[in-house]
Amino acid sequence: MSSRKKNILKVIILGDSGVGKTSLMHRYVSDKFSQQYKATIGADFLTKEVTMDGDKVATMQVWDTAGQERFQSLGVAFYRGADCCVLVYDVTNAKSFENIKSWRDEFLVHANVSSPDSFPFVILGNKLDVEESKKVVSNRAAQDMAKSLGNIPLFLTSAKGSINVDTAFEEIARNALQQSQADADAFEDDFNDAINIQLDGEPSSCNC
Amino acid sequence: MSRNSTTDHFVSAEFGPINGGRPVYLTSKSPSVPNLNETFTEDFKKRLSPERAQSQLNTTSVAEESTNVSLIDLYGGEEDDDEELEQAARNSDVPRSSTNSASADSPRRPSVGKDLSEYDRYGFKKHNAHVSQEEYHEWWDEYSRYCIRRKRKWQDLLEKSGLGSDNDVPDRFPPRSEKLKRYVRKGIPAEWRGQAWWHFARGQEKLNKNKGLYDQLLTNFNERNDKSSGRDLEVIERDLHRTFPENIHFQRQPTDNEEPLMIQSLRRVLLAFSVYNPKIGYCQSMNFLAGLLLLFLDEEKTFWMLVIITSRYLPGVHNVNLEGVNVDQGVLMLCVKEYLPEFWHRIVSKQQSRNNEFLYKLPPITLCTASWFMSCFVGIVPIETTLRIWDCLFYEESHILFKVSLSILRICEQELGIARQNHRVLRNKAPSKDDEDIEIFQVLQTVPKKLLDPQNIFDRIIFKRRISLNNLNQEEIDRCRKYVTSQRLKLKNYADIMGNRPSATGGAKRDLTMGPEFVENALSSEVYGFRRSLTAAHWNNSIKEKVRQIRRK
Repeated sequence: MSSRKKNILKVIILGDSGVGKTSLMHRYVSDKFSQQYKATIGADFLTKEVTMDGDKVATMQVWDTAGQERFQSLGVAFYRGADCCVLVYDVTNAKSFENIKSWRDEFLVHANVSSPDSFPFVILGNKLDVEESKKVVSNRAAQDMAKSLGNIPLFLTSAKGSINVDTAFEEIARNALQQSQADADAFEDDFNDAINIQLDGEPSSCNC
Repeated sequence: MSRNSTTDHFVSAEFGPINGGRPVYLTSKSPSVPNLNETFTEDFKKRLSPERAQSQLNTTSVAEESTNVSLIDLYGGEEDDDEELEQAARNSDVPRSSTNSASADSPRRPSVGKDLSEYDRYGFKKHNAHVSQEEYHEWWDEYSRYCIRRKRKWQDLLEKSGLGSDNDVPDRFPPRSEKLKRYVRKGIPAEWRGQAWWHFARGQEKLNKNKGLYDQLLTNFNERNDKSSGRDLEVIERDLHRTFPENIHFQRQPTDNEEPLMIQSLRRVLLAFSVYNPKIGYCQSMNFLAGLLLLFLDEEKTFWMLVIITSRYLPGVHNVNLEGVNVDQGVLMLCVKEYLPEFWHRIVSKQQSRNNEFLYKLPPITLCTASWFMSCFVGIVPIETTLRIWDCLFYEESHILFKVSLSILRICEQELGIARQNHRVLRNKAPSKDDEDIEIFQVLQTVPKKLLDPQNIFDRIIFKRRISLNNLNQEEIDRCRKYVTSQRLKLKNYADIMGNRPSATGGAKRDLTMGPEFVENALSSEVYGFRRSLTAAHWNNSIKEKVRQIRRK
């Protein structure tokens, strides 16, 4: 078991511009919705205390990012150390859905996670509240995609209508916690191994 | 990034829904919201296109009303808290606007059911999550008087320079001088800002060289229906309503048949720019720059100012690869290291600090500070503070952005000190590294939003005499930018040669094997040296103190 107790869970929200990343974050953290969010430049973050399985308390750090492609190059530094990555698309925007895979790939390249195959992602299809006729991404297509990317959990949400947001973030928190513990254990293994120590100049990875 | 965009079927298939099914034609130029002065209505009519002017003539009463309401704020600051007055304003405009539906296309008409006293003279909401109503009024009571005093000084200055005019807005300004610089630093009168910015940034020069180009760009755009810029179009369209959603001029009112003129102008400026400069196209944050300019200048001038900002003041910052941002953040980090050493050690490990690795792998806080530069503080600090920064930006160029950033970081540093103290008292131990990192980000995000009073950073930090920041001039910043650019290039080339070839999309930053030796090999020991004077050694050290020290020795 891990002696390195990390009580901060770092969650990163990615997705095309305008899919509702900021709205989802605010809905989850402060249970608010506004039509008046501005376009996010760089990144914003909020924190929320979460309790899981009755007794585990952690601080979830939710990072909201800029959606325009070119901003990706700025985000590299803070992808590292993430415990869960949330991929968001807009159910009324086919392109944002098609881009989910690229967002995942980009994340994996930059985040330098220890085992890419098991790193937790969660997909959110947002704007579920809009009228049926405007929806262009079918639930079936979304499920297929989530499955093909390695059985990633999928939630259809509405930040505006407060649909499924809490449920989704509970799952995100659980996954993040697991990942954080797995990382801590791996860290310890590495450490005990005493051969292959590569801290990679990342001060936040050590909390001794 | 290599997102596979197969076809750009955007114009036909995707543009429609975003824009409510209406095609975008970039035909008529609409007026910007005029300067907020007494001659507003006339000014406004003049700028309107003929058809609009005609319809406007019949319906100006409401617009006048609304202007007067915002004018009360400006030159009757003392009366701002007068309940009766506000009540009167409320009562007078609500019934009017509901009976006068013809006023629907006035951008400055009071909105139905909106309490205008909640909006400032530029149409922004006065208070928000970070600034309470009480705080706002208390500050404005003082600051509005300051504005009036400053305007009188400006009027005197212009008269003495033989530039006094009957018109409230001067068309010429005195030649550059220390005195004028001081005046600019203390704030340009709000209703002169458009003219002054245009003058100091030498906008007319640029426009004269390119007469008619703006209209040409729009015409070309319509004719070509340029598909290559489809991507930009889509992002622009999404950002139009996410620029100043809290500003009354950017809001669509329930009675509106078409979208606000401001939104239309913003669209045209950004589209024209994306065609004009394909290296940049559209970069999020330019919507904030153009949006603010449109509140003070007409569309064409806004366009040219945007060109000037993105080329002269922030070169490369909005380019597709954002390399300019990385360079400027590298420069800022060097400045932090030099001027705020304590803060520096909180954000960068000793190891990274020893060599120049941080210029290449920028510390995470630059994710926050990058947006300060990209949007020139629009939306980062409260509006009056933003405007004071812009006054200096156009007169003194980009080094002011670094000075402002350092001042804000200095305030953050103080806040962090307090937070740390509290943490010790409450939990009886020093905060962990994780806690501290969160704390830093939290402070960086909230402190700027509370900087309601421009004096907090201007008089008390940036332009305080006898502090080292005075040495950080444009020459120094330009030199520093060159240095960082070359260092980053060297590291990148070295990474390429060493076979850690980064993929084309992520830039060299994705190279994960780069350790300290790597950096040292690449750069040997080139260290940037700031030009120092006696006062530059430490923040807040006055010459007197320094001399005293020397004497003691």
